[in-house]
Amino acid sequence: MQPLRCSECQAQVLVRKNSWEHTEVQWNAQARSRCHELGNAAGSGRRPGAPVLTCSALEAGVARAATEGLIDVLDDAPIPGPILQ
Amino acid sequence: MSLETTGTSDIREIVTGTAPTRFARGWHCLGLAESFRDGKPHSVEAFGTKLVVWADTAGELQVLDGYCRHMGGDLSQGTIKGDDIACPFHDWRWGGKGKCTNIPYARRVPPLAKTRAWRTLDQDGLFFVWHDPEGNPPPADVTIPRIEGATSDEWTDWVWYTTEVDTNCREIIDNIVDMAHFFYVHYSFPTFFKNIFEGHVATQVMHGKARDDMRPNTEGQPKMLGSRSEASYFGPSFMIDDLKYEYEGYDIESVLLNCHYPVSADKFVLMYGMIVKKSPQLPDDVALETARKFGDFIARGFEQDIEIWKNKTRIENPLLCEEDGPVYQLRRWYEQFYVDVADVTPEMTDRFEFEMDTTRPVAAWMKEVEANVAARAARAAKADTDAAPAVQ
Repeated sequence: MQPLRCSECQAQVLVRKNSWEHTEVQWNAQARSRCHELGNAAGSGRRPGAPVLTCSALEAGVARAATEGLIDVLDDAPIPGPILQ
Repeated sequence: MSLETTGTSDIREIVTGTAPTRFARGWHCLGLAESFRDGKPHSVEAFGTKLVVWADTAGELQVLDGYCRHMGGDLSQGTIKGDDIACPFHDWRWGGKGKCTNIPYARRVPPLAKTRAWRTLDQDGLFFVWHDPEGNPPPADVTIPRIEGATSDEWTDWVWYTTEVDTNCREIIDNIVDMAHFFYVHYSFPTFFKNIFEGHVATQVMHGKARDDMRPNTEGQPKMLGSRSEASYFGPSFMIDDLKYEYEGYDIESVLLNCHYPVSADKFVLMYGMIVKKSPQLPDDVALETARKFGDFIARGFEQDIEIWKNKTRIENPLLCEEDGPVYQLRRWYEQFYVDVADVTPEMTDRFEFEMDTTRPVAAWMKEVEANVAARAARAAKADTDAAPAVQ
């Protein structure tokens, strides 16, 4: 996994992208406490205790880092075969 | 070339490991609370022992260790006397807090006559016990969230299913990350799949589309388009799934519960239940009937899982491809419930996100569905031809 700093809150997480569509993010406590979107405590999602599903700032940051080549996309080949309509 | 000289260094061997001897720390649902309020004591085999559950005069459910501390009698075979449970062996009375309250034939109760009372939670029609091998109470942030629909007239009552499964309960936990089995075992068609593990909560988000090859739509009924599911395990054994079925023209909202408690290292009781939101399309009775139909459908799904579990081996070192979910990270999360609180590491609880690339699976599954639909059409055409002479 590769380190990436969020431009919004400076949280540093570890990211892995097997492909353009796949994303894996490992947080630690320090990064987690910086994030503005995920909430201060674990679980400010749809149910008390359930997680917020994503941080949109980080998500955008990961996509940007991948297109800029700052994060490796392990398989960046286009996918052959039929595409879902 | 002979078998003797064939190198085995490139053969991947399965490490089966052994199921843990201790049981997970956490809230475990024992079933619908109402089912324990019939005036009788109930026997629950769980966590490698036996529990007794009964309702006191106020209707409050109490749980004690099942075996009487006097001579080992089975309290669950006894009777409820007042607020207490009375042992069938010598009529020793035990209160819900675990104290021996009365021995009718004795001048006095011995000092330190106390058995284990289990912490309970009676919420939204469901009954839970807290299990912790260290004997600590649940931390304030380890709770079971409320399910608003469960106590609302706008939703149906629970439809509830219980079944015993002869394997270690980790098998059902693995399902949280196992996208592909939803296609092959349950005949659903995931198109979006994401996992999040954080603290004591493990989440699975899944969007699916209907499988025309497996579930043709009923003639004259609205066509099912797909489903959206947001499911979280709160602790080691209790999952709440906000599950929306999408039909042409409207959606059906439901809450699916999937929970279990361990009986022993190689047996658990699996329970699942459902409530459905009423709507103009689904007034009272229709909503309940729909919940039953969905429930029966989900029951078939679990039967398919159980058939797999009955025949598979435990595996500590699954061989994964990129389109498998994060099995190892999930098990790292699950491990927190099997170690002392002092030994829970940040790796077990730190937030981890995994969004699956579904491009390849979706492409492969589209092909398979198309082939199945074509094969069915061919079979139907052949049946028509074969049947033609008989019509004349």
